[in-house]
Amino acid sequence: MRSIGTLCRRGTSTILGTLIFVGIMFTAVIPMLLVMKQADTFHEMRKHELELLDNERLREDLHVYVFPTSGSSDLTLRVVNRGDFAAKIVKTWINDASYPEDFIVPPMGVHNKILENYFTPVPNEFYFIKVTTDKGNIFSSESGSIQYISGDIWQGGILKINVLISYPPAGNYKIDIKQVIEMEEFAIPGSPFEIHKTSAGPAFEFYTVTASGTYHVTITKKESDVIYDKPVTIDWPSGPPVVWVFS
Amino acid sequence: MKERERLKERRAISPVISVIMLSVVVLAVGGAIWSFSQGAMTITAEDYVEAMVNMTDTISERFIVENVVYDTTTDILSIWVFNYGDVDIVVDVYAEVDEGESGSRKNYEIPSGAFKTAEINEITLVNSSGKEVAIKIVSRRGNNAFYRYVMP
Repeated sequence: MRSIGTLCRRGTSTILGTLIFVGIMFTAVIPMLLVMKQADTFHEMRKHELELLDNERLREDLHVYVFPTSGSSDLTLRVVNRGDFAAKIVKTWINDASYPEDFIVPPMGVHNKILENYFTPVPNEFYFIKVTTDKGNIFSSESGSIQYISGDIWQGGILKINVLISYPPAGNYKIDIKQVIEMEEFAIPGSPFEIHKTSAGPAFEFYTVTASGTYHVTITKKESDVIYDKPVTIDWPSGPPVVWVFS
Repeated sequence: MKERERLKERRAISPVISVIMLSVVVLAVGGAIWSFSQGAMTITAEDYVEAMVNMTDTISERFIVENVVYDTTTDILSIWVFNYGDVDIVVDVYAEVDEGESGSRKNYEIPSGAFKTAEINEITLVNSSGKEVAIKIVSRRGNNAFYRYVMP
């Protein structure tokens, strides 16, 4: 009789203890671990999103130009997107004043915007324009500062031909720039130029010219073939003072 | 003899009572541990989630110095701070001239996607003209942004 009673007591508390342990596991510990795991997952997801955002930010590649709008004293802002992602412009800076914007430039796309009613130009005053994107990049005008003279006349803008050699192999390249005047070609001072591209990355150089118009650009890999042979036109003041040659 | 019989009779009841009592005690102690565990685990989980959310906010902060200008007529150094991140931020702005004057402004609340201008008037052109100014923006979550500006 005594031994039956002892067994019974031991069995009851074991069962109850096990039930309580299982209950605690299922109602407290496991939910806590699940919530913690969910928080970890959320954190990791956000980290991944931010890595992508930072990567997109680094790869934003905009070229900004400013030139007079023909027939008025306004300026035209041209944004060229050479990046892989669409760029959203949120602000335009004219000297130290900012103006909210809301336009998107698709990859390899161009957006022209007349800066109408943004400001009243003051004669002999210099204006420097830059834009801010929603990803926190600031791109300054490659035209440099532009000076207002009077009426629809603006002065400034460094006329230049930018050459970027990205894809051809490393080596020395000869760049020949000739101004085209009435079907005749005249080499610009210093032409042909030489540029060296390393295997580490692209080669970039800019060449200033004194007048707008058409230029014939030829790029030749030394002791090899011609890799670029096209005319480019600087439209200033009805277009940007800078043209790009990509090869 | 009678006493012994009486005791025998009492012993017969005690196993039932002891089982009931033991069960009650086990249930009471178990219930208390259960309740305590649930509370403790809930608090631990909430604290952990809060810490993770704060950490996520900290790594989500993104801000830059967009523009800096020194107004020579008012002697005010204006610093534009742009918050391009997804979370609202509170920042302190510090400006220090190379081996010269310094100034700061604190508690700028900048909502996500907005910008604020900090105006510092402790830096004078007389003592700082042509010198470099180191600008540091410190957020309350401990992130920094830096900028260098040359005084006119």
